Amino acid sequence: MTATATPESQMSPDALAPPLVLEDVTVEREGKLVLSHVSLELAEHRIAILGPNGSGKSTLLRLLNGLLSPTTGEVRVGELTTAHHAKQIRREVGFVFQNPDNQIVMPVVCEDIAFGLRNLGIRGTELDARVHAVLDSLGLERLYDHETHTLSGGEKQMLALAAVLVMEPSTIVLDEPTTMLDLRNSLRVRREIARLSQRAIVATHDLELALECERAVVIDAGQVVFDGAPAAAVSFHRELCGAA
Amino acid sequence: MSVSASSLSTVGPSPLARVPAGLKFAVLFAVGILIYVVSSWPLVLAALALAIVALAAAKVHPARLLRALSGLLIIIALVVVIGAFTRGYNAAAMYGVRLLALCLFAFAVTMSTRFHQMLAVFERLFAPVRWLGFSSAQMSLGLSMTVRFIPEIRNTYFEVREAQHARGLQGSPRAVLVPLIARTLQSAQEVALAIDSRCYDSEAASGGLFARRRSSARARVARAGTGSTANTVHVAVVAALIAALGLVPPITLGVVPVPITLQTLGVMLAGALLGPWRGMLACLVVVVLGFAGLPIFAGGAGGLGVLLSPSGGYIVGWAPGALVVGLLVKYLALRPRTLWLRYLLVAISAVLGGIGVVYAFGIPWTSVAGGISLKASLIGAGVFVPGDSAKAVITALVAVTIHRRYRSLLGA
Repeated sequence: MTATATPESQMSPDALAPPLVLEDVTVEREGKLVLSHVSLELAEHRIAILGPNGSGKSTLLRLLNGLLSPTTGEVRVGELTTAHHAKQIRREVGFVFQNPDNQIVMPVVCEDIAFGLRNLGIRGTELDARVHAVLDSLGLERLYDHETHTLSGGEKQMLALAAVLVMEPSTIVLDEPTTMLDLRNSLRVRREIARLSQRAIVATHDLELALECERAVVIDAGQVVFDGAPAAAVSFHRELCGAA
Repeated sequence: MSVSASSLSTVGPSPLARVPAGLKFAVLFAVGILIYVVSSWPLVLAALALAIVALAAAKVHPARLLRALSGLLIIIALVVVIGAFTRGYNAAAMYGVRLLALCLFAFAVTMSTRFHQMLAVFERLFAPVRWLGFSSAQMSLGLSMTVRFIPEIRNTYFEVREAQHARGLQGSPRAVLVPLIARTLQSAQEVALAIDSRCYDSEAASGGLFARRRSSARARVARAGTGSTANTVHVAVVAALIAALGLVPPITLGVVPVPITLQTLGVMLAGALLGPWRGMLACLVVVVLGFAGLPIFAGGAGGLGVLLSPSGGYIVGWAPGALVVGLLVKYLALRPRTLWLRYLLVAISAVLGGIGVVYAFGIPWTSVAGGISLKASLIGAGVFVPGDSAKAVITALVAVTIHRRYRSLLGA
């Protein structure tokens, strides 16, 4: 944990979050090997996934909440496997996509946040209360009745995060959450990630964001090529990309 | 023009706003049918009086009323003039007053009903789509998503057009439409994933045709972002495409003197891209949103008045038109190996469904609603044949290209 994280989150990492386990996972798509024999146990509070474009990062993330099933091997969240319990697992593991435009479903901010809650069968006053609470906690209350297509890029990414947070998953997976943002907004998103009480698994090209994590995994050509402390992972990744 | 939820939230408190939407709707249609079946002056005048009372009860501002109805008044005047020559003054005047009464009534209902109330009525009316594998929950997700995607697709259209302008391809509708549709379909795939990842229970929300087909095809491995969620998203984005094409400036082709609006092109494309059922549903979604008051019909029209106007039949014909285009394209036109033959067959399919079927609804409707003879209505429709034929050709160029890039689009 780094200096930018707030003291509360350091003290209260969600101890109940079940670990995410990949066991000898291979993914083939259209005859091509996307991931090859990956085994990982993801239990830390903040984990960064690094790797060049096309290395298999996004595929790895999509395995974690059952959006994708492995060709061989198994992905487990606690006792559950994604192949058989994708629906229960999606309540545990939330997913923030790289492009918020593809994640926002409803025309109005409050409706979009309510969408996931409705899918969980939550209605009425509890629904209203949770929508307001999550907007309030991210400082987005003024956007409550705004139309989603009028939001700025940074606001859209914050909305995407709010829409996942409101469902109270124990782990949040973020696919390059700061890639499409300017410096100010990417700092804001990083600050919010640092404040999360949930476990966060972040695929990113933002090396400063990676340095704020406890553990970093580097993927290249579908294989785990480094797994360990972020500082060492970042210099390994720099070398890998020919930047050292 | 902005099409958005806020452009609809202008329903103020009024006596008519307190009447349940379903009741208003039922009365409107009962009156509409009654005054067309029974031709009598007292009845028509009573309907006009009722419409004026309804307008007063809806507290519609007169300036707003005039602005909204100006286009319609011109059509009514035209109908009266044509009618006066063909059927005499008395009959023409009755047609004019009848049309005016219905349009005013429809306007009062639209203006005094909130958009979501109107949608709820339509969702109930369209409950039978359940047997196609679309539950009312999916239908309402599809409707909301369409509203959300209209501004985005409209912006994408302008972006792509600008990019093609820079390449000197502004005269080619295919150079604009293929990238627009490709981008739209790509985002649809990820949107479907995002919906599933937010715990949307697509299996619980569906049944019927799609579910049966899917369970037989890939019984064991359920992949997210496919199946009924993907179907719902495809219907919604193509519906948004149809709506967005009605809001962009009409294009002028060198060969056809009249500028053609792209909306009916969207209808042909819906069937040709998504096949019969989803293509039809995409059209239904646009029609439902438009009749419920969203200003998405060509030129920014919307509301129940459009349905009752002389051109209403053409819009009613969209869904069956897309169905026929889809059937022909899916089971016939894309079969041949020869590329030019595929282009030709898709164009013919678009003509049969997009012109044949749509006009089969539109022409008699114009005749009845406008009070003109069937022959006059037929001749009037002839004006649009060149433009619509050009759209059928564009449909073929675009749809065949897209299907070569996305081979599984029809088989989902």
